[in-house]
Amino acid sequence: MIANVAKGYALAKNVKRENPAHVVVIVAVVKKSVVAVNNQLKFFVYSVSNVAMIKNSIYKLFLPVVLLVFINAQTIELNNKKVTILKDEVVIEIRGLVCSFCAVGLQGGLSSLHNVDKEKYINGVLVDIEHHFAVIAEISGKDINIDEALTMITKSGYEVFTVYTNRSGEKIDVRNFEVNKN
Amino acid sequence: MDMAPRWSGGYGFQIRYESYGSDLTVNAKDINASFFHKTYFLEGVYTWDRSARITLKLPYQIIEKRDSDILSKNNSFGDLIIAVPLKKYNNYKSYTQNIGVTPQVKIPLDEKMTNVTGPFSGGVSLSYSSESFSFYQLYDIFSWFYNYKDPLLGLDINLGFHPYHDNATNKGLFVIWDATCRWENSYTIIQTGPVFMLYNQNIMMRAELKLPAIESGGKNKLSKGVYMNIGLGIVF
Repeated sequence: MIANVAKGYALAKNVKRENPAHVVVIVAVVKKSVVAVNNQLKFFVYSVSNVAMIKNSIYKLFLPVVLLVFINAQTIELNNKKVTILKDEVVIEIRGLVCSFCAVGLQGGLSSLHNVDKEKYINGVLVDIEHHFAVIAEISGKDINIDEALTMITKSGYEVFTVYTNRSGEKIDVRNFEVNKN
Repeated sequence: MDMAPRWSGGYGFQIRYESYGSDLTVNAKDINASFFHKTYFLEGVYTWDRSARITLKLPYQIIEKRDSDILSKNNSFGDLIIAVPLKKYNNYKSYTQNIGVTPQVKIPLDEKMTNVTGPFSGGVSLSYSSESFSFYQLYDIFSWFYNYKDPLLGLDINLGFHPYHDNATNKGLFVIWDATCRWENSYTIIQTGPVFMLYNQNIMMRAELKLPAIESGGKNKLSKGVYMNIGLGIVF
């Protein structure tokens, strides 16, 4: 394009207006340059709009997935930690849960419950001894027996403070238990 | 870290190697004598309930004594130690504590030991421990009473912190400072040193080293020297 413009300029410098042949050549060169510039502009606009198209496709494909995850999860703050409670998870705040061997014992006991999804965490159970809670992953569409879980925790030597579930995927249900708040 | 299982029906095993001894007296003199004591322990614990457990320790010891040019070696089973730790736990929001009383007995398995300490020895310990995620402390005062020997009084203090833990894999490290005091007849020793505990799920490894900070007991009394202990345990 630039070469054509340069040619046109060189010709224009030497054109004799009184010579009709020169005038025809000039008009043809200018026309060609304008077409070339126009084509370049069209390409640029297409490229920009194509990137936007690609971005749009990405949003259309992944946004529902992202939304699906977060619509089915809510977040709480538990002992200074943000915890996301998914639809198929039960979160239990446990008093006295501070040691690593505590975690081993609870994991073994809780993972033996019916309907625990053993593909997640360690055999379906994550124990956070720093923030004193356990997460039990449930098989999709099935529920664990929470009362059995609470009995197991109590028999292991701990006390249950609160149980959080999100069975509907839209709202967290909270069950509090009477313990000395120390 | 209270490494014994807290859940009903929990049990565990540990193998442990312990050594101490010296060829110098408590006053750092060379009297052309030495005493080195190495012991291999097989230990077990069973938890009926978090408030009641039973522990067993079966030692196999290798004792080397030298008195001038006379060297004697003795390999034998030591005293079987059976203890019943009884504990009362209190759980709080971010920590747990317990007080305990532990009656225990030593049963000699080798005739030679029967002649030294008597056919039967008994003891009791009183303990307090408190643990949060980051810090641990234990205070344990105990006593042993023998038939043919003077009684022993002891005090153990452990202060520890938890520099590393991974919730996703349940692996971590504890670092403890241990101070141990023993009073027996005219012999007194205070040993102190670090303890490192590594754990991975239900497996735990412990290594400790203690040096005598204070030791007295007569000018020709051999020092206990450097104390070393290393163990590997597993719980179910």
